Amino acid sequence: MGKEGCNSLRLISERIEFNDNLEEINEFFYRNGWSDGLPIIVPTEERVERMLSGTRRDPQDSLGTVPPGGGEATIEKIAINAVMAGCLPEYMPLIITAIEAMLDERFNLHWIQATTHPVAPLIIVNGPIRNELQINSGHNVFGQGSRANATIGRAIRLILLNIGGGVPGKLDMATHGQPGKYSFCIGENEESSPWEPLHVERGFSKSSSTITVCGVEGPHNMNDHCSDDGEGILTTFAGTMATQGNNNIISQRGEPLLIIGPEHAGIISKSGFSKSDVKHFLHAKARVQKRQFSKRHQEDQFSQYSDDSSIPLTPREEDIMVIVSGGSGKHSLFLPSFGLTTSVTKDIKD
Amino acid sequence: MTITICTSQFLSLLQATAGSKGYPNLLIISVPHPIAGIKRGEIEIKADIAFGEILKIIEFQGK
Repeated sequence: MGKEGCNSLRLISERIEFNDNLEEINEFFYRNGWSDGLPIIVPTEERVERMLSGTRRDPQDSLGTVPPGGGEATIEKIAINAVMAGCLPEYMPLIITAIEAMLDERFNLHWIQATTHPVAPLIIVNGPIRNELQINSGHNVFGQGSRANATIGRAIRLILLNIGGGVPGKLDMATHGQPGKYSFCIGENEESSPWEPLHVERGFSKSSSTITVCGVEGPHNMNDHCSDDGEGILTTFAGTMATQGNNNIISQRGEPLLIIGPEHAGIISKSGFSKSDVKHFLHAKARVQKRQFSKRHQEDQFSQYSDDSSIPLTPREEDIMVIVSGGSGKHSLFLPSFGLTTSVTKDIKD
Repeated sequence: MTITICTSQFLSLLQATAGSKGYPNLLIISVPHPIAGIKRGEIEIKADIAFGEILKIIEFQGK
């Protein structure tokens, strides 16, 4: 280790010298707990400088401290992790905005990082930047194959690990975690949606590019190849969403996320349902009878409800988040949230 | 005086959190994990353990 080879005066991170042995470098990063277990791109000074060319921000600008470890999220540190994740420089403004959104107190990043619950911050991208960065919002949107989705999501996780200290079993106490903790970034398929996209619903113009961060579980599929009207499909959704063990229904808080496939969305819309109608329907129908809960849950969580009550997924229908994403096929997804978190939408700036 | 109680599994998380929030010397008592979902009698045993530790700390601080 040493400071030799330090050419850039604006980068202050410690320099570590290696031979050009990729395996040795990766082993060093892995043994220090600086990777997600997959090989990393070595964050050389030249690569970090190139990554910083994607933003106008000063490398020493800080977005704040990342809990629970409390490391300082400077633009330089973010760039280093973006290099390690395999990002392109043009992804930097989006990544910076996502970190800013996660540091908003409403998001409750401290608990999301430390909890036993299998929550991960999901990045939902809206607006023209989806096409500019080739962020997938169509077929296999949560799957492999898109560099932007994969590496942006991975950069977020590496930042939460290396700046936020979210080391599994130490400060990240997730009982199981979930695959989205490697990478969790999608676009909304605005072009195939019959409704206003998420960012427009939240007051941004359609031409704005935004990210929304929400703390959610992994996606659960909702298959309905039979129903030929909106009520039928939404009945399938309601039955799938009304489960006893998710944090939203237990805590009566948070924003469960519904990701409707374009074909389902088209059928639902043709039946006359607006997005708010969808939320209204699901709030009324996605319920669990109090008596279906365990005795302890009935006593501890739902004592204020009468025994013949049906418990809604969330107290307020507007808290059910609805977006359209994915490709062809009659499938949609349900992602319960952590509960003690509120999603945050921000417009992406340089 | 503030004394924080956690379960054994979460001790390292609490210590790191306290440090990052500017309370590196936070007084912490650890009780056997878990406390969620256990019966009243079991939680009372753990509360007794914690109470004994609290008394020791108060006694020590008073000297």
